[in-house]
Amino acid sequence: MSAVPIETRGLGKQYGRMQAVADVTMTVPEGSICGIVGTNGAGKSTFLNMLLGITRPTTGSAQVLGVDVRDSSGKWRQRLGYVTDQDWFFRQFTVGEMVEYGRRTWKHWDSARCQHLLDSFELAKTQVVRSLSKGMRVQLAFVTALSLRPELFILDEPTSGLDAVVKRQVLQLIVQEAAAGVTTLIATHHLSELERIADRVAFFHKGRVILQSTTEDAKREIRRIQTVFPQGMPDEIRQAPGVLRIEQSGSVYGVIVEHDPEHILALCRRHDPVYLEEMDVDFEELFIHIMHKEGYAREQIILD
Amino acid sequence: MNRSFWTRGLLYKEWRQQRIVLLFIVLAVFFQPILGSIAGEILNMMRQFESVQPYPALPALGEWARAVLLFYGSNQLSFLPVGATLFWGVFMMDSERRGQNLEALLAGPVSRRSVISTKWGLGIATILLLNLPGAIVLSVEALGAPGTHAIWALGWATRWYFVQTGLECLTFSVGLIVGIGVGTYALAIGYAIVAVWLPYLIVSTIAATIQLAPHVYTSSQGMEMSFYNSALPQALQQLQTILNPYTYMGHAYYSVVSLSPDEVPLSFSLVFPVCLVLAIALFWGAFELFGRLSVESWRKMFTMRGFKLALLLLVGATLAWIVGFVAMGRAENAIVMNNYLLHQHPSLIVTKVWTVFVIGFIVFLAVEWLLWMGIRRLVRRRARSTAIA
Repeated sequence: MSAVPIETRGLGKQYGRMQAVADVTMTVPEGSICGIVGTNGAGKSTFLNMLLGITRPTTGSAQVLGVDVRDSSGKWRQRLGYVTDQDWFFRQFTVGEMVEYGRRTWKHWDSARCQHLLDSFELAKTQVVRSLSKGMRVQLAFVTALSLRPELFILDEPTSGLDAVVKRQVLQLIVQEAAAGVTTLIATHHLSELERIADRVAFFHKGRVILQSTTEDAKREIRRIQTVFPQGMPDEIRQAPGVLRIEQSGSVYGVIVEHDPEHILALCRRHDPVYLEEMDVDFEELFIHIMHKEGYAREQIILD
Repeated sequence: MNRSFWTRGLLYKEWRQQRIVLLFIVLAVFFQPILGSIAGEILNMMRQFESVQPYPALPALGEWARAVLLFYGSNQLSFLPVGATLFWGVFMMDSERRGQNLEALLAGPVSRRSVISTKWGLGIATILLLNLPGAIVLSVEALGAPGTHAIWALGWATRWYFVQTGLECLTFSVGLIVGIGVGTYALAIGYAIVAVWLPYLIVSTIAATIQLAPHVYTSSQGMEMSFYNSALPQALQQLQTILNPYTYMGHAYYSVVSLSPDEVPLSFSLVFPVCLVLAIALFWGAFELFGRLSVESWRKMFTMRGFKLALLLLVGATLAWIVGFVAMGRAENAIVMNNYLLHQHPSLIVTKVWTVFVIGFIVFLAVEWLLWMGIRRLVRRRARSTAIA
């Protein structure tokens, strides 16, 4: 296996006049779980399709498992597992026939593992794919992708349509595989799930990567200071530079601050807080903040 | 074998996906010559019975066979496998598109080209194999049972096999290459039919136009001569016969039954190699097309607008062709039946026919356009009212 499972340089895709993906340079180290998040139409799926070799890049280059994605032989995808929420299975096949197709297609197909996964997901080989629910099809996609013993796992909205119990099962599987050295690239809108499993994250907006780092570093972009003041929130803190927003829940204030929170913490301490704590923001907060900075904001819709 | 060209998984998938369609192809391909030969046999028997001794049940059966099997059977059935292979080629790619399977396929360890080559290989192999029983049946009949009269020569059965197989390989390849680029099943079939019929229609139209043009000249003897002495319309007519799918489809079997080898034109002997070369060329086109373009690009290759234009051209050319032939028939009748008129006023008839043809073509195009616009407006209005509701 190559040292770097995914490496792109200036990767771009243009459809007519529309630039779907522009100048993406990214490196995903082995064994990491890298999240791809972004607004709707940000180019996440196009980016993944380019990495899979389904869509041809118009600019730049990409190496996946050490092979150029323009390599048309497709052999390099022997160790690549792909799961998407899109309805793409051979609908008239039974689950058993899907498994047989997998067994004949992938050289490293692990039949025992496949059977174990089918049993775990309670999928019967006699079931016809078109009769499966969306969630069950996603489970079948996971069975296929994991049975080929992948070195790289590319997931596009993998938990869409799954119930909470199966979702947890699936997330555990991803973490388990990562621990065994499988690199995972996961595009999703479910930020709370990503937060639980990802160690790296890339934010996409309008086809560009606007931030990529480890999740720890990304969370340092903004911080939350939880505090309680006996006399209420002092104006000095409200007007301090770097304060993005202040939320109130009873007597507890949440101060969202940009980058370094030390000067705000020092300011708080001067006003003798009853309680003061610096916390991580969740991914959703981080996402909204980053997209807001990019000018992507929506007003609240008020209905009559 | 090169794994980028074939994969076991793809062959399995194709077999699994196509097996129901294959059943229909078997019905179409396998039974056509058998039914046709049964019809021939029954007719033959009927003739023998009629000449030797009357048999009360058979003439009625023979009449039925004559009506159903020969005229509506063997002749028309020969269209069936050729049409079926065309649709099969279209269906092979269209089923992938409708099932949204292409992403799944291409995300696996297969090349784009192997997807096409597996489909093409499976299709051609099936066609070659499925026509064999028919050829065997015809050969057995050609050899004849002991003491009976063989109704056709062995070479004719071989000719049938190659003509039929070549045509089916070609139409299958046309279907496959059209199926790659076209967005919907109906659109693909439309394009495929255009691809098969358009060359013939264009040549027919040109031939009819030249034949019907008011080309009247004075010969060296001072006689007023018509275009029928010209070599160009004759050459065009030959080309028109060669390009006519019906010449092969309708006569692929019919020639075996009724024509002697001397009567079979040279073009029949060339059908198999020509069709095979064209089929391979089309396959190569499909191979390269699918290999080079991304999924999105080839999906957008054939648009609805392009199809409308092609359809307009096809229908217009068809109608003009019908008008031309009807007019030409009338002209020929007029020439044969009314020699007097021809010799007296040949330019009068030809000019009349020519005018009918040109005006007919323009009127048909205008009517088509109006119909098309009307249907579109109706569809839009209905869509709007549905949206409002």
